[in-house]
Amino acid sequence: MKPIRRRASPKTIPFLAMRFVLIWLSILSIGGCESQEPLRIGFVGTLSGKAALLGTAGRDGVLLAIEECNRQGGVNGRKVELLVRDDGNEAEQAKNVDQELINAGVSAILGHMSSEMTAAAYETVMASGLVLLSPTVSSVEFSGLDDNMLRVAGTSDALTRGLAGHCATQRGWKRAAIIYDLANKTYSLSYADLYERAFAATGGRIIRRISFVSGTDALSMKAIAKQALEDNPDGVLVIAASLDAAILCQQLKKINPNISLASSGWAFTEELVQNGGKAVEGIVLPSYYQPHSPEAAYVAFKKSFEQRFGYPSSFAASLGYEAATVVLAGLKEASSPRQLKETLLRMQRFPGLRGDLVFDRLGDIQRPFTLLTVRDGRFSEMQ
Amino acid sequence: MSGMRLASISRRLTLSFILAALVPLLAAGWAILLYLTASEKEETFNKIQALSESLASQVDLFLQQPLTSLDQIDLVAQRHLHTDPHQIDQYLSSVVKANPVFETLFLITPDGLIQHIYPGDEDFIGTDMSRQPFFQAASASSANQWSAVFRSPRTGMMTVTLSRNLSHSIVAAHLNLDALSEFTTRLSKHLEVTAFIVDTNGTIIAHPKNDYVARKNNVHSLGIDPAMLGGPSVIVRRLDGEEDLFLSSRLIASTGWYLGTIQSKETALARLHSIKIFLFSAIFLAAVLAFLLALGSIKTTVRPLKIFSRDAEKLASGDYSLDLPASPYLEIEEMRQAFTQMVDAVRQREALLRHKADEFSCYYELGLIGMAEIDPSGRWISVNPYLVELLQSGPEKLIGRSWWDLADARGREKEQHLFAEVVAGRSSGYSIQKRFRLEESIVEAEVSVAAGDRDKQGAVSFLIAIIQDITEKKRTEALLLEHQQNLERRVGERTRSLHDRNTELAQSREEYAELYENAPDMYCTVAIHNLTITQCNQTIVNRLGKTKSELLGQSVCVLYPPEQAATAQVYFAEIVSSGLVQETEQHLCCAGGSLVEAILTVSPTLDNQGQMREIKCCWVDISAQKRIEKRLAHLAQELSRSNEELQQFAYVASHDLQEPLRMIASYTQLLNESYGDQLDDRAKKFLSYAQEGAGRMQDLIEDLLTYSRVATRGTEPEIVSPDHAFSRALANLSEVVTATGATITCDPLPHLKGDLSQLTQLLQNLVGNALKFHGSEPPRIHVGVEQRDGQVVFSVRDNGIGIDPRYASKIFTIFQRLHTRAEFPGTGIGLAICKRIVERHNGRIWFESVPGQGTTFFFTLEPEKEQGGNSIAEASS
Repeated sequence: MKPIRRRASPKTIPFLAMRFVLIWLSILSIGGCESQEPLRIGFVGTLSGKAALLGTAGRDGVLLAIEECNRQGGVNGRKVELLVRDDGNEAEQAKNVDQELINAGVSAILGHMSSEMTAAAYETVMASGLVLLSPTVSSVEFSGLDDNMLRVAGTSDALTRGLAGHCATQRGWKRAAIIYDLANKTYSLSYADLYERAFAATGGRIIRRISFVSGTDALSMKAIAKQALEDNPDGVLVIAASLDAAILCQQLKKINPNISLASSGWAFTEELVQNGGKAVEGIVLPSYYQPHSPEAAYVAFKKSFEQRFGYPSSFAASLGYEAATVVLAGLKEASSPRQLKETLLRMQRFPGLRGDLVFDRLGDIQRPFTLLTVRDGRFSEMQ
Repeated sequence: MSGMRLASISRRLTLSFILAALVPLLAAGWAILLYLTASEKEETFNKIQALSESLASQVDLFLQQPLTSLDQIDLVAQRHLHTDPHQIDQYLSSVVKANPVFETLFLITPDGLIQHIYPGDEDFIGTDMSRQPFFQAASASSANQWSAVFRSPRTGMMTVTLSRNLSHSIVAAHLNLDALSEFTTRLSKHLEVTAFIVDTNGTIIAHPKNDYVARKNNVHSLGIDPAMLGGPSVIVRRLDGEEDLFLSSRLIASTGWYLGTIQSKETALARLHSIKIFLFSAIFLAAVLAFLLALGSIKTTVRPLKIFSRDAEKLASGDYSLDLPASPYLEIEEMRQAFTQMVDAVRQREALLRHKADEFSCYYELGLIGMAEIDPSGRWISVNPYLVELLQSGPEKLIGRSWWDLADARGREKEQHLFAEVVAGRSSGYSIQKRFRLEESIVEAEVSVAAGDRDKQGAVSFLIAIIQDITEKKRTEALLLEHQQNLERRVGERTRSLHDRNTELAQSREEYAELYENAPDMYCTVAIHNLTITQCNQTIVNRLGKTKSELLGQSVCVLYPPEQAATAQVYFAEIVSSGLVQETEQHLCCAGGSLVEAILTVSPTLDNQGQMREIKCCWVDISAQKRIEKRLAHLAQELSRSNEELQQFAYVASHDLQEPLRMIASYTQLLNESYGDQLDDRAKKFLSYAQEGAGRMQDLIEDLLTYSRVATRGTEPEIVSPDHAFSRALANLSEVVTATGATITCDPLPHLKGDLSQLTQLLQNLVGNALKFHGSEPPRIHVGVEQRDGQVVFSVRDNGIGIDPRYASKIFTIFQRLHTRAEFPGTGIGLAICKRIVERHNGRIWFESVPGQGTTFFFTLEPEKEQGGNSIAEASS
């Protein structure tokens, strides 16, 4: 006869009591259960101060892409969390906030939005082995390096050649002056140099280069403008953020209403138009961004962005969005964050808002650019 | 029962105590929590709503200050704009200094150029503001215009512009939003709520955390959908899903902004959380207390059960020495007594079972039938000796092996299904015939399988199989079946054969009846006991001109003329009595009295005992035959007489003609000899003609006489040797043979019955013919013999001139010649004689010839059968 299995006996009562206590504790701790750890991605840019315009727009572009990704189930089932940091346009702060993001366990860092801040935090991020993907940085300082920094904006050399050619041939510039903001000198200095080289190639000559540091310079905008126009140039190239560029343009036009003006893509925001008034009418600037592109993806993005944030998208927002979609696509394929760079370079081609984005073997990108001007208070593409 | 889980009384009792304590507590606690939650929510809503309204009032009040200032600037500008601009600058300076809310004040010309600014230097005068949204909005309306938040070109801080279209210019002020943030900070610091203000785009323009404003964060960053603002107070789930918020918001009418206050649900319901902890603790304590109470009760209730359990285990192990103590509890005492009774019953049953088990073991070990135990998975557990011997395999080879291994594959699927049914408890057992394939033999067995033991769930623990060897039985059955099949097949064949025979018989009967009725002969059947006609055919009826009714049942004597009736009666009576059968010619009497001559053939019919049963009579009508016979006899007689007369005439004529002819020949010869010299040549010539004619006449008469003598002077046939006849013929022809240089050969000729002289004449005529009608070459003649169609055919072949086939019918006719006498002398009767001789010997003669190449004559005779050794062989003469 087989023995009967007992479900419980008086000897097991202490165990029953223990089980009861455990059940009770588990009831009390309901709600403490956590779901799967989110995938963290960092964003860093200048979000405060006069140069914050690119940063906030870029952040919102990145945010939109991540919200869309989460609505579609995240990255391989994991929710994506965006950790946003403000570099304050300060080199030291840039290093600190990047380190914060690294310590927080982000899988990649999107940013910075300016070349100067990128240069400041470069070593910190490269040492971590994480990918630093910048939406807007176009300085040639970062070209040709086999590093973990990638970008979705094209480099400045093509832009400056196009702009110099236009100024020389279409606007008749032979002699020109350059005003540039050293607050972002990594960008502005190389931009000025490239432009000067390209302008010289057309037979032109830069007769004066005036630098300033936004917000800290002792010189007033009027004085800077006066210096630039002292030798009566054919035109002035202003390499500054949109607000500074707008004020400088106003001052330049007040001194010489006929002066021909050019600027860089750094100033390409609505604030240039709003604050520049009629002074910025006819200004020319090159950009990888076509504000009136008919591409379906771009049109849909513009609509979503404005609905979400209540203001129109800009080039920084669109590049931020594109940078985020590239990183998210790479993370879906990469076995670990440390493999992200190799994965992105292996994948190489990604759908962008205005055509495919194609990385070269070093993580740089070539894109077609457009020359823009302000006509009747609106940016428009030049033929 | 293996594996079955049983509920525990102690666990059940513990659970009951705990439930009894917890259920009321939980119900009460749940109700209290529901009430308190609702109450706390309402309180929180009221609080944040009140705060929102209060803060909104403060913001409205705050915003009234710059509006008032704009009114005053309007007045100052109207007074001094064109007269004393410096006054305006001073006033703007005083306003900014007096109201920290103002960051910058502008007076802008209607075309958008800065006319006055504070703080600011001359550089800004004339700056174009026409593209600023606030300017464009103020230009289009006289109302106060609040811009969207933007970053101040001067400070880089977020700001808004308040603008108004004055009578001569447009006044605009960049407002410092820090003051608004201070409102929200103050509120949040003391009341654990967060207040914020968002502009019409949803951008946060005031928040205790300055970063939200400085970084131009959208209200989304607070986890709030902008669409929720302006609505009733609600609990909202943050957009990132992390926590719930109590939200109350109010529209700031003057600007279109929204003021919101939020408090996290966790903070708002913190007190409720404490109450919850208290309640859960109370419930926990109550549960512990109930548990302890349960332990006490269990001790009293369960201890006797443990003793029962221990005794039951002892009982199970065969130990009947129980130590059940008496219990003070009625139910347990009753159980103890019942248990004791049960132990006694078990003891008795065990003895009985042991007896049965011994019996079974005896059957199992010594029985004359195979027995085995099989586990539910189909593996042998044990086998008895008989089965070991039957399967020619030791227990070690069987135990653990699959039940299906030794079995024939045929019927396995069906048995597996039956087996599974038993194992599953859906069947108690099954019987099946199966075949075990051993190494050198096959065992047919009747197998019965039954469930051995089942647990409470009906699962079978093992199965018992009884295997009976029925190999011999199956073999006998197979033989019987084969015999039966053979028998059935043969019966079938015989049945078919009989059917065919019956069919043939019926057909034969019909044919026989038809033949019988329409036979050329007359049939009737006569009964032996009274000699009456029992059956007759239509022929006799027709021939005698009577009807069947006139004959059937009548005596057979009615067939005969009245005068022969008695003789017929005697005749048939003798047949009946003696059984002798004889054929006899009789006369039957027709209806008209005419007679029919007939030959009667009688055939008695015998029964199974060999006794005569009836007489079958057959009369063959020979009336016509008799008439023909009479006619032939008459003709033969006439012919014989005529032939004799003809023979006599021929003989007499030829014999009697010879005498005068000899006289003519003699006297003409005498005349020629006596008077020849007296005769002239013509007379001599006439005389020679007469002598020649007489000579030829003699030859004709000789031949004619010979021809006639073939029939009249022939001897009786006897056995003769044709060789002898051939030799005599050659001797007669020797002169001609020599003269012609002929070569004559002859095969050995067989003996035969005939007339030697006529055979000699036959061969002499044919060989002589061949010698006479030769061509340019010397004749070559061969006499041969051969067998054709069972007949001996003689031949005489030559290489002569041949015979035209057109004359085939003429050459055997007497006196017929194919050539002139000058070409070939002769009388033309030789071949006619040959034909007559051959016919006298019942033979036939014919020829085959190719003109110019030769002729072969063939003839047949009636030769005696060969008497040994005389084979056909070539010989030369």
